[in-house]
Amino acid sequence: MSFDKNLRNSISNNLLHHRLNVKWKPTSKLTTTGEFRTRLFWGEEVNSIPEFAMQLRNDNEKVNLQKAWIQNKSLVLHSNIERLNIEYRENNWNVCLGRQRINWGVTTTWNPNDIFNAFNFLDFDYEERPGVDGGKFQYMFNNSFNTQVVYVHTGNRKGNVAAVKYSLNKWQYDLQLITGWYKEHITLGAGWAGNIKDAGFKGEVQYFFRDNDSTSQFNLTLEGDYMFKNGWYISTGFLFNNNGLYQPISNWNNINLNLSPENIMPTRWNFMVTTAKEITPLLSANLSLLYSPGTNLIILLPSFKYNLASNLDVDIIWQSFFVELKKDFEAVNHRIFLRIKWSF
Amino acid sequence: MRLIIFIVAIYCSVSLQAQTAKEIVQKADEKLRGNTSQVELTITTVRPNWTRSMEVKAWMKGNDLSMILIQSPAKDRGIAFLKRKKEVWNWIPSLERNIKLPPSMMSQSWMGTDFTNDDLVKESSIVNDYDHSIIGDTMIDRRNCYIIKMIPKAEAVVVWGKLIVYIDKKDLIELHTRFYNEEGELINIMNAYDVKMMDNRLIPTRLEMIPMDKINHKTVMIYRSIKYNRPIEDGFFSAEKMRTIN
Repeated sequence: MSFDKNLRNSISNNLLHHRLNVKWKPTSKLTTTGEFRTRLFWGEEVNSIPEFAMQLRNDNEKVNLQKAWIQNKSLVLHSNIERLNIEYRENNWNVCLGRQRINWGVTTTWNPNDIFNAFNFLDFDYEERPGVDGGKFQYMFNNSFNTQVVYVHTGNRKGNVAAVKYSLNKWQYDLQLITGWYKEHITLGAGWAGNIKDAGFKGEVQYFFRDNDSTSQFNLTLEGDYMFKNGWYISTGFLFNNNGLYQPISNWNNINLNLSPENIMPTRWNFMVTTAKEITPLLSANLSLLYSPGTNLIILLPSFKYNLASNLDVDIIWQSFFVELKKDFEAVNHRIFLRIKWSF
Repeated sequence: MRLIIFIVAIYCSVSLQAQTAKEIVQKADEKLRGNTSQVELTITTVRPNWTRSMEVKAWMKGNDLSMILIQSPAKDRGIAFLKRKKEVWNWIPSLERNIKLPPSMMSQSWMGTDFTNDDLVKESSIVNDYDHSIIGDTMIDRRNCYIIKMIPKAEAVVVWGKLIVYIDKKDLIELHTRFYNEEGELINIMNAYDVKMMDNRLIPTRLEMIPMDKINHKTVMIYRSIKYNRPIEDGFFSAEKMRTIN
């Protein structure tokens, strides 16, 4: 359900979401994975957005494995094969071909190192995140040092990505170095996860070189988290995007939430504080606050999760957006989601 | 002179006793863990109005290496925890992510149970991180037990302020444990029941952790199977294995 700034004029949308994840291991060394996601949409949003079904496709997938079974003004039934891959494993190396998720991120909120596919952190219902079509080779030198070589075909002639990652565990830190070819340009990155005293300390930095006529892209994120003895968890994150917006905007639509590995956030400076508490083992609450100075964008994200039965969860998720428009600070819109999830 | 001999004698007996207490704890600990162990457990969280059960598989090697895999319920299947020395990682299959946990997370409840992360992955060693002394003996379930006090060493990163453990004298089985916080308040007690022969060892197969400040709360851990001292390579305890073990 979404509302305008005054919490009036609501638009409702309903979604029935079905996931089927299958794994088949014909031998101990071979694993095939298939993950199928089917969604049934109905409600005012389906009605009001033209070509609603067209927008459901992940544009970094080379092979079209999606199908809209039904699409009309009131109803859309859409399936996509999120993963379809075969993995062969030996003791110290493995290779995986097909649609898969290459997840090089280290931190929780923003992942500059995740150069194969970005995701929208507001899309809480897409936990598995989009996959890509390509191949991954991993070699493990030993328990704490390994390398991955990945090639991904996005379907665009100039959109292919190939990169190497070295991962090392040393001084109680997970460290990684990334170098590669991102859409015809060189990219370099590094990430780490460790701790300072009892608090977690993680970070990622990624640099995308460009031609002389355009500015290079640079993203840096830092994150710290701590769990207090009374069970309160707090996490603070920071993201810098050198090409992001940093002036007040005149129109909300200038904020582009269609994100990419280069453009992780539309705004330049971003601060996020998340606090979470398990009220009972069945009920947990989470509150995130994002602030981007310059644009004065604020996103408020409270959520509750309740476990009704062993495999039945209910989530309530609220998203409120505020921004400075033409020198007035105002609410832009509010969205509330109710999710019931049954795992089997 | 006589005084010196007397002091030396006391000192010897104290150090002898301290060593013995440590040895007892060490032997009881070794008995339950072996050099390596592979365990299948059912863990049930009991609350006044509800209960939740999960099935878990765990691998341990010495004090430094352990891995835990959740097999049920369906929504948590495949979640895994890896511990190497002082570092702990958590694999979340739905996100395909490996998250390094901050040390401050260790004192928190593990998956909603009355066990802490530290209890499960044993970041702290009950042998090396504590000073032990025998403070008495008693009977539990018709078994004659030592009562041993364990105080964490100053430099040790330990969740508890003090532990009192009751260990069966004959079979060296830890039957009862009292967990105190740094202020000296009793926080949890753990009882061990159903002593049975498993893989040629006499061990308790049902453990109950009971928090003291809550009525009708407990967590019950039942060993379904256990294998001791089967060789497990160090390379098994890796992030890669955590991802592929399910």
